[in-house]
Amino acid sequence: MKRIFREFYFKNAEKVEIPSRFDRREFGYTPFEGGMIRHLAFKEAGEIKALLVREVPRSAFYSVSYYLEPSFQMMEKGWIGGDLAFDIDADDLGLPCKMEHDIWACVNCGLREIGIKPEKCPRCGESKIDEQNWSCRKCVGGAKEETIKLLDILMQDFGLMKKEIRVYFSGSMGFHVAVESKMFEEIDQMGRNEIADYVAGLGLTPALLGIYPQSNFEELYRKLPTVGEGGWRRRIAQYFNKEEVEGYDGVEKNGREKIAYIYKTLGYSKFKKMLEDASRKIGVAIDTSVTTDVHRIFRLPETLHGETGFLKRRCDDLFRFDAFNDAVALGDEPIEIFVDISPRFTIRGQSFGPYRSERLKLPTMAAVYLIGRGVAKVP
Amino acid sequence: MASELGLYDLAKYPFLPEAGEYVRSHGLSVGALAQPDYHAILERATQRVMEAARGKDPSEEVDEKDILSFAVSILLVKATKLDHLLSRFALTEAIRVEKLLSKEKPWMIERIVEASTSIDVSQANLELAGRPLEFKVPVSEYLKRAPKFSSDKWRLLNQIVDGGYVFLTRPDLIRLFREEISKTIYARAKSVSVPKLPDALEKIVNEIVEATPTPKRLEYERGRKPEDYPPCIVHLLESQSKSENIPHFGRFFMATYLLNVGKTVDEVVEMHKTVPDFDERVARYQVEHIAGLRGGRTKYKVPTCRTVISHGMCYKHPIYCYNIRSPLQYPSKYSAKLLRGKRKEKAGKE
Ligand code: SF4
Ligand SMILES: [Zn+2]
Ligand SMILES: [Zn+2]
Repeated sequence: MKRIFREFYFKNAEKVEIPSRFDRREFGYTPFEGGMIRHLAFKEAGEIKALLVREVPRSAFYSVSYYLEPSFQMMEKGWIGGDLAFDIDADDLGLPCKMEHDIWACVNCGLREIGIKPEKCPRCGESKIDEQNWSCRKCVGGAKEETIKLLDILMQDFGLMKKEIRVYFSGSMGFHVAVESKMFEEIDQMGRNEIADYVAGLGLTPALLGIYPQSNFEELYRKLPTVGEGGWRRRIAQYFNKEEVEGYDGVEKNGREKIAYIYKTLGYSKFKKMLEDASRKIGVAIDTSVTTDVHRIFRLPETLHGETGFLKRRCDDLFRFDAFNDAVALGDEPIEIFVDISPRFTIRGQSFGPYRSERLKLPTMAAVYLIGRGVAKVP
Repeated sequence: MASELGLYDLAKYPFLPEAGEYVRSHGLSVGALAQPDYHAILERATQRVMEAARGKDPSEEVDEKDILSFAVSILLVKATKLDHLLSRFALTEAIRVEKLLSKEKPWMIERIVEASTSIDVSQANLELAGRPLEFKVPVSEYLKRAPKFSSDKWRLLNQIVDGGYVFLTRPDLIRLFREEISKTIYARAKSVSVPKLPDALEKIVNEIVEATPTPKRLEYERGRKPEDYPPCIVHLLESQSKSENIPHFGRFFMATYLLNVGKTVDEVVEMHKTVPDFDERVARYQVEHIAGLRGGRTKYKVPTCRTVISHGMCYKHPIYCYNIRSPLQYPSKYSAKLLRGKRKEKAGKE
């Protein structure tokens, strides 16, 4: 695998996207031999590319933050600011297709199967079971929808411009969104936490809709949100406008009447609970800890993902982006491998698997996909 | 749209640069203050300072002589050389400003906020959820201030956010910038230098000093528990337990802090044992030195937050580290809990 990565970087290192202000960022990578190397700093973009060719990392990373001394230990780096970072992972969506492609493995006896992990290993009864999440077109499609929701919030609510937002396919399970904006770069962890919860819809209270435990119904109606407003009030109004509500037969199209109806039927505390669920659904399925943690490192764009052999790829046209085609970086040359287990998967329109304990020849892109996932070996 | 400021406006907000100009053009001299002409102003200035010294609620009654009385009250405060009186004065004045602003014309509110923060506040004139949202501020500026207020009401998710702005009611806008207004007044006062005052004024200064209670000395509790250590110390202890190399300043800082919260020399030396190049004799010598048992017999003080920050070792907690100058002022769990108020645990993902 390292040989294939080496060849790739030898030919393609030029295309790697070097982040802006790279001389203020920390770089790091994981070598094929294991471990993790961090706290690297570079003065020239060329040095970063040279490192990829020379060291051939399994995965390469850069910090979302900018530091006075990026190569110092964490405590001494001197934080200056950072991109706003969002991570959307298909696995968090809990889509039904997981059953078709996730793999679990018993820690004790090593039994491996495709599907959702059981409580206990059916062979030995062990309850410690590892799971490995795979992704398919549907998963990536789901993550894409979430990403579109995120972009809506960033532009509509936070007033960011398109050119301040970069969207990437992560190379595996979803999307990374990086915002570089003078306005937001100095926001600290606490402020980022607020942004994350805002985006994810965590902690919305009825007060935002003008609803308080003691509100009287008549004056309430006037305060409810309509689809013509902005921010979360608009989202809530739109959501309820579309929702089927049992027993409701109004025709009004701004959302208010339906919310009032639901509130009247449920009462305050049930309504509060329901609103929390709704806002989580409306919110974006981001990993909030990624947005909050300013010391995160992100995969370097246009480098290979060590677990798939796919590229972390810039998606300027998110709607048309097809991960299993556009992020495929390796070629067709056949490689002989031994596959332990694999669900069905499709790359560049070719469908592979499922496989179980077999020796076969696969195109490089598919072989690396399986070796990277740890389910195949070169015999 | 900003209109011209009248004298009455300057009297209400005498920390504005325009008011400073007025005072300068008036050519007020210290010597003249003892003259009968200035009696009323001097009296008003004294009253102002006394309000601060006694911790009284500042009055909202203002007239034109207050442009000058503000300047004179700064002279009086500075002449006492009491730093804590200066802070109290700034706070009392800020509270007065806050009260006045709550009844103010919107453009004036914009102007005052801009004068103390250089932030672009604009009028919004929106009414949503039955609340008049008169103003809007950029989301990023909101996020630099509001998160430390720690009540659900201030959470971004519970605000109206649209087009890059957070929409706020008048009291919320004023609340958001309270500290900065107070800091602006403090900075204005701090920058004034006091000439020799005539005897009549010295007498007033002495009266003020008498009336100002000495601040309660901060008693640092002995035996503070590790879970109540400030984040900077927690980080150092963590890296120490991982046997990471800690720069000299870090070790010094940790030792002073731990000794100050009641650890013994033995305990502090013991804690150093995980350090890669640990030499018990050297470590003990150093810790005893810091504790003032050796050498110059001066007990070393715990570095201030500012010093810790400049060494890149500050992990400022946005709420609990707010407004503190020394890691020793970091609130203990008990007070932290009170401060935290009702902030609920967030439903986070793994
Ligand atoms: S603000 Fe002070 S107490 Fe808080 S982490 Fe920084 S140095 Fe420590
Ligand atoms: Zn088993
Ligand atoms: Zn799937």
